[in-house]
Formats: sequence, structure tokens, C-alpha cells
Amino acid sequence: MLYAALCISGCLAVGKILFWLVGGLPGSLYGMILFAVCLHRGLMRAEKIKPTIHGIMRFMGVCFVPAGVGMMDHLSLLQNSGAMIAAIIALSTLMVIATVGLVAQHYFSQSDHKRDTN
Amino acid sequence: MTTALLSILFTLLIYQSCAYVQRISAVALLNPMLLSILIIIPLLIFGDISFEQYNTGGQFLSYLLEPCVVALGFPLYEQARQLKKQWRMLLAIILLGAVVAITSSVLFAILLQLSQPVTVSLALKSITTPIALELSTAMGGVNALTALAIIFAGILGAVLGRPLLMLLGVTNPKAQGLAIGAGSHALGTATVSQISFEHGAYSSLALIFSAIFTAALCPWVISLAFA
Repeated sequence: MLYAALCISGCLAVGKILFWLVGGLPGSLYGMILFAVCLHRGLMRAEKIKPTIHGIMRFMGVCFVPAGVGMMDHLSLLQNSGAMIAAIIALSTLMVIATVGLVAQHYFSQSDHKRDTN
Repeated sequence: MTTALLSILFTLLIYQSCAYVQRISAVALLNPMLLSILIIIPLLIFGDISFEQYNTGGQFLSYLLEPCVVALGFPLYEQARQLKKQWRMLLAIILLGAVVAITSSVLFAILLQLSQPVTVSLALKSITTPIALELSTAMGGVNALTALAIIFAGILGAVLGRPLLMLLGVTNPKAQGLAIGAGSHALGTATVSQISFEHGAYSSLALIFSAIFTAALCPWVISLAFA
């Protein structure tokens, strides 16, 4: 638990410094990539961190609630353009799922076929 | 100080109850995040408490977003082993998904003359909440709308994603996983993970990499669109 907290906050700190130096992605994203690299290289011990990560993943949702509650200050936005916003989200989401699904299906049917005939 | 503590306790209590309701019902629509928001807003309005007052405590929970993003490095590490030889093509497909997600929502938003902050929020709807909220803050989106748009996109893909794919003849479990992860992030991933391990693995692969690609592309597209 303490070890995991130390690894995560260490990566976050380095990520924030990186953002300050070069900009680009948010510091936490640099931290995420750094965390994955450290685990991959064996610099941090994955089996020691795993239980804490499972805990974080389970309860992460509660951290997003206050941001969503902020909608109470924007209720007029929903009243005026809520339907349009919902339509855009629905259409765009289905477009993403259809495009990725079709392209991936095409690719996998070819690569799996190649593997079968070799 | 007391207000802050109370609003944290209040949020945790409601979220836990909602999470319990979903666990026993197992219905994607009863998302604990969405339910909590829908319960807390009316309670605050009814109790004549402003968002500002509530957020004296709420902001402490929002501070935890950054470590949550870093923690996502763990599934990234686990999924990276999946990539192996196919990594070029898999990343290209996920990149395509991110491009479709961003450009389609920005295009529709401009056609319907929505404001720039709203457009930013909509462009971030397909990626995982902690990363989207960070980007939303950085790019001047409406954070509350970003959070709600993400839940909506998630539930939609979790419920309609697989029937749509079946209709289009997309039957390969890897293809289905990638598609749902790219369109409906963690909510979709949680739903398809119940079908097979392969679904779950490819879905979380798409979930992680679409967030990274979106972080890199979205600021660009927005500044081009509103130049």
C-alpha cells in the first residue's frame, strides 16, 4: 500500500516536472506512461502494487462525482441544447464503434487467415 | 472545514449506496457515478446549498484524479505485453477510432453552432474520465458536461455497442473489444469483459491508447476548428 503510493506519487511528481519543462500532455499522463515503463523494466515490483491498483480501480468513480455535480451550475445549458448534445454524443459514439469494429474485423480476418494457411 | 468534511462524507455515502445497488442489480444503466450525481444535485438544490459550498469538500475528491491517471499505467503495462507483433496495426486502428471520435463530435458541434467549451467537452467523451477531466480543465471545457458526456457515451456503447457490431457482421472478439473500448472507454470495457477474456483485453487496450492519442490530438483539432 505504502510502496504503491510512493511509486504513484513519485511518477506523478516526475510527470509534473516533465510538463513544466516541455509541456504537451498533462503531467499525470507523463506520470502514467512513466509508471508503465518502470513496471515493464522491473524497476517497480508489479506484484506488490497490484492489490492497491485493484482497490483504486474499484473506487475511482467516486472521485468524478463532484465534477459531475458541477452540472447544477449549467442546468440552462442542458435546457437549451441538451437534445443536440445528446444526439451528437450518440451519433459520434456509434460511428466510432462501427468504424473501429469494421476495420479491425477486416484486419483480423486477414491476419488469422494468413496464420491458418502458413 | 466542517462543510468540507460533511460534503465528502455525504458523497462517499451516496456513492457507496449506488455502487451497492448496481452490484445487486447488475444493470449498466444504474451506473453509480450517474446515480450519485442525479441524487446529489436535487438534494443540494432542495437544501439550498450552492455548488461552491458543496465543492469545498468535493474538490478534495477531484484532487485524487491525478494519482488515478498515474494508476492507469498499471493496466497499460499489463496490456503492452498483448501488443507483441501486431502493435503497428492495433495502434493504427485505435488511432483511427480517436480521430473519428474527435472530428465527428467537433464537426457536429460546429454545424449546430455550439460554443467552444461545449465542443471541447464533447470531443473528450470517448475517453476515460480521469484523463478527460484533466484535458477538459487544460483546454477550457465544461468539466461537468465532460463528465456527463462520458457517462452517456459509456452507457450507450455498453448497451448498444455489441448489437450494432453484430448487425454490421463484426463477430471477431478482438475486433468487438477494440471497438467498444474505443467508443465507450471503461464502462464499455467493464461490460464486454464479462463476455470473454479476449474482449476485455482488447477493449482495455483501446481504452488506454485512445486516451493517449486523444490527449495528443484534441488540443490541435480544437485550435484548428476555432482558429
